[in-house]
Amino acid sequence: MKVIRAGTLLTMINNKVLEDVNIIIEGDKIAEIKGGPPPDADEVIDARDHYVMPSFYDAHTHIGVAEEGAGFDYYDINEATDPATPGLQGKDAIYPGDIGFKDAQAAGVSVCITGPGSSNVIGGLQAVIRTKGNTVEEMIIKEPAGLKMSFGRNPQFYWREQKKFPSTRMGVSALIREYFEKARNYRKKKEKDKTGVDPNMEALLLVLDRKIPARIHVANMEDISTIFELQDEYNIDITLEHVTEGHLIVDEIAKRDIPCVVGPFFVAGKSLQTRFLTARTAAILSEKGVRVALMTDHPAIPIHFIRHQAALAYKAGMDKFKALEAITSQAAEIIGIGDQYGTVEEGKKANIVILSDDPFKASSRVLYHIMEGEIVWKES
Amino acid sequence: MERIIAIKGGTVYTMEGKVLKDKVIVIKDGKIKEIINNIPENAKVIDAQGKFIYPGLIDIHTHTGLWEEGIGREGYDGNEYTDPVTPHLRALDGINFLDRGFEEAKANGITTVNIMPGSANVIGGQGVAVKTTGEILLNPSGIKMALGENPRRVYRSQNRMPSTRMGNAFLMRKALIETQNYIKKKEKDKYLFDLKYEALSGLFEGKYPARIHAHRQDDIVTAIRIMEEFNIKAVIEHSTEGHFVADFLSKKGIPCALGPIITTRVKQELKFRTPETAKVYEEKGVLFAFTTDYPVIPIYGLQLSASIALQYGLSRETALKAITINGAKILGLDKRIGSIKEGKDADIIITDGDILEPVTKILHTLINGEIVYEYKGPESLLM
Amino acid sequence: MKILVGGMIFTGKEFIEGGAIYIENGKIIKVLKRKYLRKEAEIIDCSGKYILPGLIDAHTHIGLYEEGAGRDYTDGNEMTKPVTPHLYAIDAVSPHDVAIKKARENGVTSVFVTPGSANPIGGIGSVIKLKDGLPHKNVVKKEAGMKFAFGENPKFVYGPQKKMPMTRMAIAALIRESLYKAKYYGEKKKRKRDFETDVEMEALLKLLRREFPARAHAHRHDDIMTALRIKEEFGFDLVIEHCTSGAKVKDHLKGKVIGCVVGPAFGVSTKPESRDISFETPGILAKEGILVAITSDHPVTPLKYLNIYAAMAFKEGMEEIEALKAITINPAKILGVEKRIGSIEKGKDADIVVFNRHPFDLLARTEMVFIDGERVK
Repeated sequence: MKVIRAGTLLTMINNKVLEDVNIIIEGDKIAEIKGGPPPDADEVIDARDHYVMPSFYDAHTHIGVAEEGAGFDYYDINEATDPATPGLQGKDAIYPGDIGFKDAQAAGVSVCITGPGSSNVIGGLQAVIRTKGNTVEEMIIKEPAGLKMSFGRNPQFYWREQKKFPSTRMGVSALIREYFEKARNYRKKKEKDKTGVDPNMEALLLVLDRKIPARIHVANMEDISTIFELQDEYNIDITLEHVTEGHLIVDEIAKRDIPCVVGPFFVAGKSLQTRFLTARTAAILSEKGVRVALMTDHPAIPIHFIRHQAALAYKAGMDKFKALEAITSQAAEIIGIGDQYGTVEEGKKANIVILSDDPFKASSRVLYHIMEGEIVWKES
Repeated sequence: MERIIAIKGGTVYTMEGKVLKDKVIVIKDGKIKEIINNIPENAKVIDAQGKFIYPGLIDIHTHTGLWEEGIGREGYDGNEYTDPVTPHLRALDGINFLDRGFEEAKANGITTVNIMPGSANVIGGQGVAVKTTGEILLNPSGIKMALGENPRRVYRSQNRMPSTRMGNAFLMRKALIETQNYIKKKEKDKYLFDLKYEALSGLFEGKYPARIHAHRQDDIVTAIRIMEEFNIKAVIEHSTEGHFVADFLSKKGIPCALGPIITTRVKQELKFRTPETAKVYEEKGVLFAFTTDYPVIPIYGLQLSASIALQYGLSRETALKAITINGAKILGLDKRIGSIKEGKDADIIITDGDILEPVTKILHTLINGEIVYEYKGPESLLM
Repeated sequence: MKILVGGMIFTGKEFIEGGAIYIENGKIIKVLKRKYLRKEAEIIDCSGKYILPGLIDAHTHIGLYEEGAGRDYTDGNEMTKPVTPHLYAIDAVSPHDVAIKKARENGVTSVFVTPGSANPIGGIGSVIKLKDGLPHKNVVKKEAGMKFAFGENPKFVYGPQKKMPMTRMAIAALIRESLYKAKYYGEKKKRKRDFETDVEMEALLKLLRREFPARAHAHRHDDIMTALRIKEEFGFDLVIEHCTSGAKVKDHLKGKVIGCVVGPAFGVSTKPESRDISFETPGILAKEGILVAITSDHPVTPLKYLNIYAAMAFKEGMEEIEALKAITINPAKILGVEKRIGSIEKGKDADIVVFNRHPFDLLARTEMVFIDGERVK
């Protein structure tokens, strides 16, 4: 049993802040949160002068799959030999020795979702993993956690250069319709013929049967609008990733209650297609009641700067608690593990970070990072 | 411009050693005239009570206007991938001064930027230092050079030199030797003229430094080695692994443009990038300024870099210098900009909080005493 | 309610001088020829002005080739395979295209947006109103035609890639092949035998069932004849786009096509197949009783000058009323949306433009533009 004596506890449950409480951890869960003197325990962490909050959840990364510092040869994120590869599984390419994981642990990031990149229109399946483990099996919390799909500049330009279909926006949505139709046919055939199992089609059926969402990389309004059409045509669950022009179409997103993973706020230059990029997107979507999480898109921005993504969102006008939720409770919910993760709450997993100061202060450091009850990082 | 402007109150970080409170900064004809206690007559007053005042921020390594924002390849003018040695190219000839990048700079408190060609070429061309209103401060400000992965990756795919680090260094030396030959020949032949060697001659005359892109420690050392062979002043750009060779840099007095420290580490030569480099430089006495390499990261990353470095042990004092006066010194413009001092240009920013906090917003940016940006609510943020 | 009073109204069918148009809830509820009844309404005085139905261009690529965007933003042609019947142009229309506002402020209120002419079968086009916001939300008719292309363009896209089609023969062969496949698919579907849905085939089936016409890009007379020949074989509805040499084959067109969308003629012929480029063509075809619409083919020529192109046709011999119809009711009919737009008549959408002079006057300017009863200029 461990106890954390918390000076300021940001529970991330509806802006609830508790002062001077004890967080009692048993095994991998938070057993109890109560005031008064601390109970006897094997380990007592004194954080009475510090900030305690849920550890961080990065809702969009390619960590482990795109290995850092190893050069482009080790960028395993795009099986760009075919624009539609739904059956690929990101978990098969995670390298637990990626330096990004150590950085994540030191920065208080417990969990992230990872998988294929955005060269393919349909990229493959994603996995939610903890940032510590020697083997992928040790790291997986939930998989498959989504099907990666991409619209816009990345797939379009890549396939245009290859002179292969699809090289236009029209082609991208047509390809998706082709594949969804094929999957529907496959489903019918499956009932009679058990010998024709197709892993690509199986992956698509997970989305058509609403078992997992399609997590769609998208920047421009016209693509977001096309995605809405597809959502209506095929009745699927979706999330919008990056959603660069989301602030220009916020009412429709809010009406459909589609979760958005916004960012990263540090991309290299604005292309023609990201000319409306602004850190205000998170604030504007959030103000209208859209569920917003933030991302680093590691390794685009190294994962340990997730906290700064939230600070920038706050600077750009996002409500402070919403900005913190966007890297904790809301992020956990959007990646599909909100029932057990994301808040400091009795019964939930003990994923906790202790910071020296307010999370948005420049000098605030990670003092402790506790992952499912275990201290994975401590400032020496 | 006869006008007199008075900035009243607030906490003033002069970057001249003192932090002043409740003073009046008097600006006349675009210069800081004096810092006194009372508001002079006929002055336009900017009330900075409760706010914070700093010199305008300086980013010494950017590609503002050279890689344009929000258009496509038509706006990419920073890398002439057709020849690895192009010292005669001038960044000034490729900059679109109406590009959004300049608006973003002003809105984020950056008053001076140094703009250089990219790092595809071993010798890329001449940089220019400008105020973010477009006023030219120094042209050329240096010769951009590059070692490491970029040139050798670009030209290897074209099947020409350089395709290795040896090739990078060889081309650099060869160009400098040829320049020495040219200088000697010119003594006898009055009519000899070559645009490339004229540009490189400036290095030998000490008119401007070589600004050498180098991430890995061996590239940093190679750069200095070559420059010492020819007795040329150098600045190291990025210096990502600089913390491994900080003693070397300090002993030789090599200044560094450090950063961007918050970006992807996909290249092998970026593997050891860490914000801790700044602290090591401070300890070892290496003069450095932070840089964003805009648009590699957005220009507000300058403020954020300094902020993050605090977490990794950098002192507040050095963090502030590294986004103001240090950049001015490295550019050789510290007589005009980089601190709030009588006689210097009135390039000043007023913020709503400590500039080293990531959430601090810029309220006013003044260049030559003119307000070039004013915060009017979240919609006026250019982030 | 709004009432536009006075001026010279061209309803799409006839002229009314000194009348009144009643607009409520986005629709035209009444058109009177003489005095107007006083009611609780906003009276808009249009005396001395010219009032037309909102102009319609039946062939544009607006938003697909965004104005001023350059090479990074060209979405109109899927030049990777020649037969792509299932692509929707509307999925690629950028709402940021400044051309949309420019056209709207010059009186163009609805357009057909279509894939380009790189592919023998290019995809499906939609009729949209030029309002702000998402094109998907401004749709009048999502599936209003399937783009076909004959002649030089497909040859010069695929030929250099050493892919079929390299010749006019191959273009026709590819189209026939696809239509036969679709016919066969249709048979299998009916008999439910060994059947799997295919989005490409479904799209072509809709064409064969005449749910919308083939919009066949054809400049030269031989390409027009090939289009007609294939139409006879398969029975789908046909519209000829550009129809540059249409005058040469006008007798063959009569009665066989829904109509011809003629243009753009404001330019120099850059290729052999468009040598007959002329503003005389619309008038010649109209005299034969063929339904003629005049197009800008934006961005080949700017959409905002649509009234000027009709004026040029008038100048070169087209009757005034026919030239006016060619940018109002005729394109609406060709697009199959004449129940909603294209004329100022009771029950239709209140898409109306008010010019300060006759629209064929070079100095004419729009003073007011209404879409769905709302003033957008």
